Amino acid sequence: MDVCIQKAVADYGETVARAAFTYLKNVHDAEDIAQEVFLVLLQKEPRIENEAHLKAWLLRVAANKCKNYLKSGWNRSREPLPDNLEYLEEKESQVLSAVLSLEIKYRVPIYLYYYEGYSMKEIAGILYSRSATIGTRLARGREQLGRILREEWEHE
Amino acid sequence: MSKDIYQKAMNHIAFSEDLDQKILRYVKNTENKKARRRKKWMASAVAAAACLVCLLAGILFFTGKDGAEIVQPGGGQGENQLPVITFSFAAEGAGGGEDFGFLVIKKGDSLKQGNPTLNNVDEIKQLPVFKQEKGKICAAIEDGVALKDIKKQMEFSQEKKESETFYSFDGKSGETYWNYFEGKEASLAEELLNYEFKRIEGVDRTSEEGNDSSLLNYYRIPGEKVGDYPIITGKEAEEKLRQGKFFAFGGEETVAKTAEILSVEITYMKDEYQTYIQPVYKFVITDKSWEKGLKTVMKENGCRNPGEFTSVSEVYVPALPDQYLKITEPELHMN
Repeated sequence: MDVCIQKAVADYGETVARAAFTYLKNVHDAEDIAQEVFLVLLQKEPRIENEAHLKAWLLRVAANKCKNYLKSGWNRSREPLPDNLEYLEEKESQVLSAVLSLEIKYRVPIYLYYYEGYSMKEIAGILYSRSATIGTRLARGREQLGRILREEWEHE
Repeated sequence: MSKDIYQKAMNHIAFSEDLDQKILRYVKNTENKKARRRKKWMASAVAAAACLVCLLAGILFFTGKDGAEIVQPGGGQGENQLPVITFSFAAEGAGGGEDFGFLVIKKGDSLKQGNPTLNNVDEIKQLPVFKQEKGKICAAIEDGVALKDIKKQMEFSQEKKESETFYSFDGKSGETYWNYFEGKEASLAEELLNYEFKRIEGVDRTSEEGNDSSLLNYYRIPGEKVGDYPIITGKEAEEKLRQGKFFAFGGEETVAKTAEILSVEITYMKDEYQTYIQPVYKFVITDKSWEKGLKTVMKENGCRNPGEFTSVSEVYVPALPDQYLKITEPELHMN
């Protein structure tokens, strides 16, 4: 198999799976999506300029695959099955559950901004959006997240 | 604090230990299966090649040399022939389920005001459609480039500024602004093209992390025109909106029939994933059912005067008549 694919999987396999997990809330489904994404990389052979470009390309393909997956008949007819996150430390589980409870349009920009470290402009490029829209979504997501966590931690 | 915890949690998600190998195995197996199928198919294809050539020749004869489907309005031939235009819309969320609109504005305020077709859409009967030229029509402005230099480069001799103020749920505001060329032209259609394509976009926002003021994109008039297309009327576009035949970022379908239309204008879809740069109707809508949800969420976020605000959404209806349109999924690409 192409050495480039092997390197891409080694470098970004988990990154793509994490992005898919942010959409689907489920490790098993996220790994399936990661497989599909690298298959697209092999089949389409896109013109990649550098490492950053490759990573952004993979994340964009992952986003599209996840959206299609969520739109598919099978998924529409069942409730998503979020993973049990009890194996994480308590605070980690609370924060991650809170992020995953946000709507996709809020939690995906939060993932790309706070975990992957992309700027609003870069996120706009990956998600086919506008920087100002991403800014608004980050602000809204942050506000909702703050509210959820405050409530949770006040109850403790 | 939560950021660090979130990062740790993401690092601790229990993916398969052999995830890399699992991915590679899948890619390899799927490719091998495909290769076998391809081999089998090739054998049959050779036998059918002669028929295929005849068929292709026929298709080319009826559709034009680049294979694009051609529509002949009124059954005419020759100069009236226009290719079918694909339209796609990418929303970054799955959307749906919100009990308020996508944008928060102050009551009485409106979104940006400079579009020459704002609430004046019926004067234009046809508009050009352009081919996408990636990186040329809309390009990101590099960090550190000054606005005055961009203006100079774009020969902004007659410019105007418009802005759109958006609010977070706590009532704090940010502003997106656009400088655009405003020359008085022979027709409204030409003025619209200037407004849409001779344009610089920037954003000013105050957030917890401080002030963010940056230039975002500049636009250029596209060079490759596909043709001048007739467009549907504002009334026809509104009918489509009421039938739910519109595109938006999600959640608006539940109010499409009852929503109050605050404004209508013609604009161009310029995003890079569009294969064609084409006109669309943009409706700014609101709905009474959104008031309660917005008030609740703004109150929860510490806004003292949520009654001052209202929520709106922008929804889009393609302006080309159905016979020229093919709705598709956005293609994968990178900027």
